[in-house]
Amino acid sequence: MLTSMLELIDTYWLYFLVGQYPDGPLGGLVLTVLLSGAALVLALPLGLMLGIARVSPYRALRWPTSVLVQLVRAVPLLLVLFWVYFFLPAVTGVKTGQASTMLIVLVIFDSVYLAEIVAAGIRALPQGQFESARSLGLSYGQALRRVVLPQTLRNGLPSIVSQLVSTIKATSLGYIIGLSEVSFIATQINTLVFTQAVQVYLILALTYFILCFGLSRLAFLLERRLQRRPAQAS
Amino acid sequence: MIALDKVNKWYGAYHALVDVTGQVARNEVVVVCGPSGSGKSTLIRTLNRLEEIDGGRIAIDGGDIHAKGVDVNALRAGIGFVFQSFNLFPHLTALENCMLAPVQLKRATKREAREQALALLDQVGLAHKADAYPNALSGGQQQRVAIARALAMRPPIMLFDEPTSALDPEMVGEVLGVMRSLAQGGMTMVCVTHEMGFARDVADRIWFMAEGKILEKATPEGFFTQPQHPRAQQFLADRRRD
Repeated sequence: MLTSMLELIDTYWLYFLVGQYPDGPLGGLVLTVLLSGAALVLALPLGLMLGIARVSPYRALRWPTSVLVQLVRAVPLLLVLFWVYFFLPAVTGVKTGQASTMLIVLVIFDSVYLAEIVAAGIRALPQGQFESARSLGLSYGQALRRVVLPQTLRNGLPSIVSQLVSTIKATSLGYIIGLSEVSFIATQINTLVFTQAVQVYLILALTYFILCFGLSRLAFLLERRLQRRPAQAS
Repeated sequence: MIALDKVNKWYGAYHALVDVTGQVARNEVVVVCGPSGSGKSTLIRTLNRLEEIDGGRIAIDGGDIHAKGVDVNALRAGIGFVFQSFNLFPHLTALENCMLAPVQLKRATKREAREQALALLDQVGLAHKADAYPNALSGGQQQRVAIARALAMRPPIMLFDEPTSALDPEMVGEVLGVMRSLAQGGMTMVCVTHEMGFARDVADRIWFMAEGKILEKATPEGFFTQPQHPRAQQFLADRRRD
């Protein structure tokens, strides 16, 4: 089993890693990682704004964001994927490629989940922090930017890394629309080889495991380090 | 300097402040004391609008603080507030805690704010802890930094909400010492405290509160030797028993 797996890796490692690149669009593990990373980076500022709106004292900000967040969280990613890929071009007339579609969908999903992480972090901060900032004369915005958010984001870092792990796993849904991310490539390899399905999918599983477990571990270590040097008022 | 006129506040059906009326003159130190739940903290928090009122008028320097067009932030910048739980910003050093507001509110340049912050930390005896983070400071030290932070805005009025109630007994003295020298320096202060020794030595007047009302206003001497209101008498008798 092990020798056949090593043979497979030896033969197909490049295809697994980058898909058909440079003879075709980028694919494989690199696409998975790049898509996930880009989605998270783009979703962070969006999620931050949504999260702040979620806890805003102004109803006009709070209600629409709450509706949006609860809507997206109640719907499976697969549905949003179909909707964006098939329905949106009919409405806007613009047909998006598979990778761009996946990116849009991931950004929508990530920003909403990140919004909840930010909102929860702000709510978890003791009221006294906000009160003492306002008592010095700082405005709501200044108190948020200089006192609340620095603490919230620092403490939300493990949650954000966890969100990255979720995103990496979510990219596998791109298979449905023919996106050549790593799961899709694995099935392609399987079709080529045909007789070693177990080995192929074991390699795929190991890949996801190393990536996701590694990041989860990082999140855990971050959380431990934050507890040792608390930067949040208790 | 501070004028309260028939201030009322309800929490739902609970009448927390009942027709509270009083004046605090410039340079005066008023200590507000009374049993738990008497409304002392609520009252002091209405002075910088951390709590809103449902009736009456509060004026600072003659201006109604609830008037239309009043900038709450500007109001608060002119009043220093010290909390029972210190509330230092844990992601900033002691020095940075004291520098934040003056810099953000454009009252000083960074360099000026730094010099002033160092001077204030020195005044409270903590210049050597300027670069320490709050979690490395004891409770008494944190509270002294909190006082320095409030003073950094150079407010003409300082409010203290039970500043020593969360401290271990051996640290109470160092904080009271800072408050004492502030009072001697002529600061206008309103303190909610259970420290009767401090009240006796430093206060110009004592307001005794119970059930949301100010039941007695007296000089320290008058209050401690000859309390008029029976509730005040009972309060002091209970204290003496401790």
